[in-house]
Amino acid sequence: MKFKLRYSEKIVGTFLIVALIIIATSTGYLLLHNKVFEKKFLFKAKFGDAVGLSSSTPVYFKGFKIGVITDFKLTDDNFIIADLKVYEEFRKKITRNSALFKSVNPVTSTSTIEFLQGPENLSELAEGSMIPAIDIPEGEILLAKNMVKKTGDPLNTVIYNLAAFSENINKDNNVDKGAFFRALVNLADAAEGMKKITDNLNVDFESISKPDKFGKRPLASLVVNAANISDSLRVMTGLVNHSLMRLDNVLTVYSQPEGLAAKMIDPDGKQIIEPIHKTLTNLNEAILKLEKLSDFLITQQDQFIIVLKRIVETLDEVQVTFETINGGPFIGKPKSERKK
Amino acid sequence: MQKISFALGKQALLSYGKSISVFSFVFEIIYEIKNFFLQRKITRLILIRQILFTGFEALGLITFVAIAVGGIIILEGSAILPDFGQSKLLYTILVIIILRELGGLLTAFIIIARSGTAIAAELGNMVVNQEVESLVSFGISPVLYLVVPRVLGVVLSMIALNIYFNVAALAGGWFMAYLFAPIPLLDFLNKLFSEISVNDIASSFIKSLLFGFVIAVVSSYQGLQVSFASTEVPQRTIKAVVLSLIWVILFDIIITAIMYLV
Repeated sequence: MKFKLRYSEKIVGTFLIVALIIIATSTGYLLLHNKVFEKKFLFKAKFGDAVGLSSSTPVYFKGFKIGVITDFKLTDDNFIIADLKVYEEFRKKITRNSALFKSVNPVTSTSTIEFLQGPENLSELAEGSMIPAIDIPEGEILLAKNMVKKTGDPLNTVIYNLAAFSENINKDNNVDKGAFFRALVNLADAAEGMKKITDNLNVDFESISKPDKFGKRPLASLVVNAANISDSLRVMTGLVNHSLMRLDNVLTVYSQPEGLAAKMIDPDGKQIIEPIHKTLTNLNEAILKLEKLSDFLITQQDQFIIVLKRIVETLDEVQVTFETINGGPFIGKPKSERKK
Repeated sequence: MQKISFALGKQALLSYGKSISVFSFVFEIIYEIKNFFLQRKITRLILIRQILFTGFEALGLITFVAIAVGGIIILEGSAILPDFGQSKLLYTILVIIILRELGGLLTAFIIIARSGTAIAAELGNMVVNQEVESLVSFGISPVLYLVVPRVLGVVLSMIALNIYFNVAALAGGWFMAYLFAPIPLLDFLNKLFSEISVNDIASSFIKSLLFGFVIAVVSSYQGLQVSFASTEVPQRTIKAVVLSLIWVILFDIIITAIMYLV
């Protein structure tokens, strides 16, 4: 305690000066970190809504903070115009036909804005110009023309694409409106028909294993049923084939550069669209072969009936022959006894 | 009915009188601060010893509490936040809890417990021992000689301790984060400073300034309110603690509302 009292001035001085240095260093570092003293270039940003926007929302480009949203207001035509201040270091990255992508964190409701650079060979965007977000028509056009390519959080991208896909596929001016779903409904109908056929087949196979209650042989009726089934199968195969072809057509339409499915699933078309296309083509070929097989079976139907009839006749003859042998003098009883 | 009205009126007048007394006391302190800097030689030693007692001697306790709190926040955050996929919010939470709120509040609580009680008891005993009366008889303002150096000492100590608390808590947070997932200090600081705004630092500074002032004024006022008996001293000390806590929390709410909501 005496030591403290003796050197109290020095101790207190050090105590306060160190605190002062800490706060000065922290504030200085913070100001440098926030690029307060760096020259900024002002641009306008246009958004569809202000959800998650704040007066200090950062804008990122490839993970770098290139600027910050400082102010925003609602316009007469119900869009959001915001002031975007870009740091001098990243000024050259702001080229023409660039766009912004705003994603909102569902937990914190804060937004992350990503700068989507336009084609690099284009010149710099003039200061004060407007940069559209991709959730407004101007941005959608840039995206559709492939002027900007969306990157960023994969989950956000998928969700965004799903939203855009579901929104666009139901638009009235979309030539393919409902085509995808019609194809799916047809496919479902076909699958239902196939199930019925399979059920019938099961019933027939069960009945073949049991004798008829009238004691008749079910082979003849089985052949007739098989003919009917193969005929139905041919019809249903045609329906499935037709549905798959329509689905194939829809996917082909969407796999084009401006297609929505392609943007949602596979922007390059190499990862998913092409393999699906190949699979569908193979399936189509298999169904065609199946169709030919069923046609062949139908043409062979009469031959089957004849063969089966001959087998029945042969079996009858065999039965008579055995009975004769059985009634003969060498093996069986005399004919007079058998009559008794 | 008449009795109730009389009691209510009396209470109102008493409260009014007290308020006037408190406000005049505060204004007198503010006025005397100017004189303090003019005649600082007289009370300089009191100021330095006040900072030594309130600030420097509390540094160990403050550092320990801060490191523990920072570590606990990271610990709790690491356990919960990844479940929501929001691990990056750890830094935001650390900044919000430490810099904006807990730093100032916990430092204030420790100062109330250590120095608020000490100031109230010391001044109360001086009144009982008629030392204050002696000062007045010599023409020395007790506010200038006794209260102002304590107020300045507590305010400066509060500001400095709040800074140390924040640094220690963030260091504790980094240390705990390092144990779970080794992260370089520079990365940690970069992420941390991405979440800190100038507003946060300003809010922390304003809070510590006001909290220090409130604690010192309330404690000094309660100490000087002791009349004659030494039994009043602990009563006034308890009152100083309770009122300091209430006022600190009220000011915290007001400043937070002004800085972040308005």
